[in-house]
Amino acid sequence: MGEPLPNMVLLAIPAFAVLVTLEIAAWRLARRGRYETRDTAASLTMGIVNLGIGVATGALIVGAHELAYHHRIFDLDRSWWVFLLCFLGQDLAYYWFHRLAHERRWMWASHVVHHSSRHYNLSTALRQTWTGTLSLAFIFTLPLALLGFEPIMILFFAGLSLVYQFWIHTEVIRTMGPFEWVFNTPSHHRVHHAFNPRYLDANYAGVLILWDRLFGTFVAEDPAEPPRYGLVKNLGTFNPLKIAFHEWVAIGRDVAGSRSLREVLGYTWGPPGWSTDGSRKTSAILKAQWRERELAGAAERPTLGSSASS
Amino acid sequence: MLLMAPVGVLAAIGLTWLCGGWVDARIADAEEAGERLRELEPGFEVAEVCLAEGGAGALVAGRYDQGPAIAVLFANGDGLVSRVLRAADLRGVEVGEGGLLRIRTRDFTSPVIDLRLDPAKVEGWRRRLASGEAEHG
Repeated sequence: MGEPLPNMVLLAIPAFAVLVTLEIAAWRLARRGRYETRDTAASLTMGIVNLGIGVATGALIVGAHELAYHHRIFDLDRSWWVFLLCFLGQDLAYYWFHRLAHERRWMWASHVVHHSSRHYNLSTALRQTWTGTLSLAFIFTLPLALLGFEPIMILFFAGLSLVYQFWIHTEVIRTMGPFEWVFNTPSHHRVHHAFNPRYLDANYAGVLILWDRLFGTFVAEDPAEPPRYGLVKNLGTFNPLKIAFHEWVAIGRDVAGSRSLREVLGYTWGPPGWSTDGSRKTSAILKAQWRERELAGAAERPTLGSSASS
Repeated sequence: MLLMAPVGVLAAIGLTWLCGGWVDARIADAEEAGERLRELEPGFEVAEVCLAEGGAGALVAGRYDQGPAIAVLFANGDGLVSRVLRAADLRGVEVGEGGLLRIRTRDFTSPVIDLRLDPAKVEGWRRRLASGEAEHG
């Protein structure tokens, strides 16, 4: 085991404070972005408690990675290419964790917290779940430890990814030129936080947007359709306890009313919005309905040729 | 560092408040209510709008998913929240003094939605909701 690596999230806390202050100034002075006091209070409260829970459950997560590392396949050192591979591996693991956190309700119940704000600013970045361990978020990087990457190196890059993803939660920065091709940016992540049907379930990247381009989940921000932030069914509360647990409560109610194992599995591991009677809508259904409306609208709109001849 | 975080949180909340961040959403008129609802519930065909006092919310009747439906819009901070009111989601609808319509739902995050409507219309909306007009929503 090598020397410890720094905890990037703890080191970044002063920078978080300075950048939030600067963004609030940009909102008031330059009318860029938007803050709402109760929304900010809810987001920051979620963030503070998340930090505390992280300290409390840290040993479990480190222990699981140490256990996997104990059974490692390769002995990897700390050469530059090992760091590079670990960064790529952690970022790829994050992509799949994040994608499944949107596609499987058990994991969504935890991740939904981060998407529950109607605002998109730096405080939204800190609106973090309290139930990440329960939703099994940590299992996605266990294969890296099994391959032989040091757990401390994996957790270092996980922290670095979180810090990277902080600054992209802003409307102050529009687009970033060629940087947009390779990296996750404010523009790409605005799409991810939008509930406009065309933007649903897109841009899951942590640091590299290349994964979305590779796996077919990339959607570019369209200046003609500004993102509307939040959930398909937005919350009517700023109460942090309700924000933290609302989807778990909903799962509990659905499971309690289930009449078969298939229903229980559907309500826990099916896509969010799945229901036995089809009375709710998954994002796939919402997107399909949006496409139908778009096609119907396009068919009704006269083309240039037909309007000129009529 | 961790111990300083709550101080920073309180400072940020205070700063947004000082900068005028405590805002309640308001709906200007029936047309805006329709627009907002169509954004929040894509596919909802708006037929009739009843604005709450001061534009603090609205009840909207129309069609959704091939059936008649009633939806409610209400403010949560500076954002509007919508619910298409299915009969199965309602726990009760009551009328109070001064045109108060109290909608009790099974929604964990908004179990009670209060709207102050035109007193002449409030009983009619209560009856429509209670009679299951929202059934198909």
